[in-house]
Amino acid sequence: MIALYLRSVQAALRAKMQYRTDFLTGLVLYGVLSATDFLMVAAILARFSRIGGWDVYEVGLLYGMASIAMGLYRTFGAELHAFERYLVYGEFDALLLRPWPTLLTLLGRSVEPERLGAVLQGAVILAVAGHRLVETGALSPLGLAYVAAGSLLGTLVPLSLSLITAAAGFWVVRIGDLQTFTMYAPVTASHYPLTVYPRWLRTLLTSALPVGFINFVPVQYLLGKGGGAWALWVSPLVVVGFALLAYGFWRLGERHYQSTGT
Amino acid sequence: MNAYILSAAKAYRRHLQYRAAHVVNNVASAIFGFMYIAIWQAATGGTAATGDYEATNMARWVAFNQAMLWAAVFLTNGLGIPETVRSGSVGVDMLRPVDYHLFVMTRELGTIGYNILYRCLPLAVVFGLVVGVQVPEQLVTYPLLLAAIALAIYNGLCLRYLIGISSFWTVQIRFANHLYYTLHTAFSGFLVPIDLLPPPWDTVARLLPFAPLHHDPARLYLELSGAEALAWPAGWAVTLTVLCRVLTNGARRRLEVQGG
Repeated sequence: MIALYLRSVQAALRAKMQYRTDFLTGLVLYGVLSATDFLMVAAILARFSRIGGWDVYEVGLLYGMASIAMGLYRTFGAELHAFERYLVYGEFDALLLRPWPTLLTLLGRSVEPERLGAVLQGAVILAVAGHRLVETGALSPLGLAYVAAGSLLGTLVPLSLSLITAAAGFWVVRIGDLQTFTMYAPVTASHYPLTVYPRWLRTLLTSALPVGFINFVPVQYLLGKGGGAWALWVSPLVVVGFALLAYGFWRLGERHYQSTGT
Repeated sequence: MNAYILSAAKAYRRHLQYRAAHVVNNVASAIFGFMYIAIWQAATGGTAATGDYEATNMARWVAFNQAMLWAAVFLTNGLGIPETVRSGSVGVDMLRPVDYHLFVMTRELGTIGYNILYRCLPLAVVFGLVVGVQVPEQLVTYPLLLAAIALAIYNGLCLRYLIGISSFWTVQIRFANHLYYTLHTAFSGFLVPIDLLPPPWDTVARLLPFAPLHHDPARLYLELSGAEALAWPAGWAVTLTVLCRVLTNGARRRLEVQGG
């Protein structure tokens, strides 16, 4: 089944690569454009030097991790991100015909490799911030390795949020507006240390919309800003557990699917 | 004249169908606002008052701009022009005995009217309860602020129209929208006032048509500037209008060449 998914990703990738210039310009554009998000953070920090006790390198670590996770999701979860179309136009029927999980068929249908530009941009910021923090002794090299691995695993969080949102679409059909609430707002929030937010928001971001476990929870401990060693093993567990939960919800929604009939 | 009002009213009524979905979006918008306010408080909280942009002002700055987004920025992508170019129905639109440019812009006014009633006002109330509303000390601020908001909406409309009309020449409209939002994020001052940007970016932001959407009206709202804050927005309104007219003529000619 996994092999099948990989085959379809390969095919989708080959299709995209027919337009090599488009891919290259897209890659550069996404890289440069998504960097402006960090420039805003940097502009605030250039003026005030710290946000909630975190300097620009520490915030850069948070930002880089979230950027990599989100970029990878947008690359490989392109079809899931545009799922509303399947519900509104009844295209989901076609996926149900295949004798394997609908999710794998869906994800395998297309990829957006040019979005890796955003991943690269996140990786560069992560590398610069990480290098500096290791140099000053704020972060151990092993800690940096954890951060890198955590960024990759973190992809599961936006993916799961998207999956839950898409599954909610089986009932409410229109999910474009819901996405802003479940994806864009939490991921943007995770660019900053969660301690700056009011308590209700912080609770939301570490429970129902658990973006805090991509970066903030482990990084807070790694930088010696609070939390305990538990954060290092709890975070990946939460991330994986949340993904399983999301998939369960997707299966549930799938059984409720009614085609549009048009 | 009637046709313009009718098309705006139609756009307004179409949006009324989706009020429930928009409530979710309003919640998201409010959360974004509270997030930005919290970030600014964390940044400015420790330091003593930093001139124009101290903590209270920044909270209101963010709140004001979060509401402004729905009036001037979150409009229909390309004002709906790209779809009609793709389907060819733009030919019919251009045949109508109305001015195409004016027709497309006024149609969007229905959307903007809806947004102001069902998005800006609820957001303003929620934020007002939390961070307070800046009541202008000088009476002259009221007409100036109204003018600044009207110019922001007009400039926002023109920019969207320019993106839309460019679909006559290119099919890569997705990037144009992405670029628009990026430049807006960086140079409109909706989150970071443009004069706080490190040089040379503060100058770049001043020279681009994005500051009139947020930075200039927000400064008027907080009474940090007087009438002079209308200069750039008014200048851009004239420039963008000329650009829109020129490109519309170009598009009309191009359409004829292709034969629809």
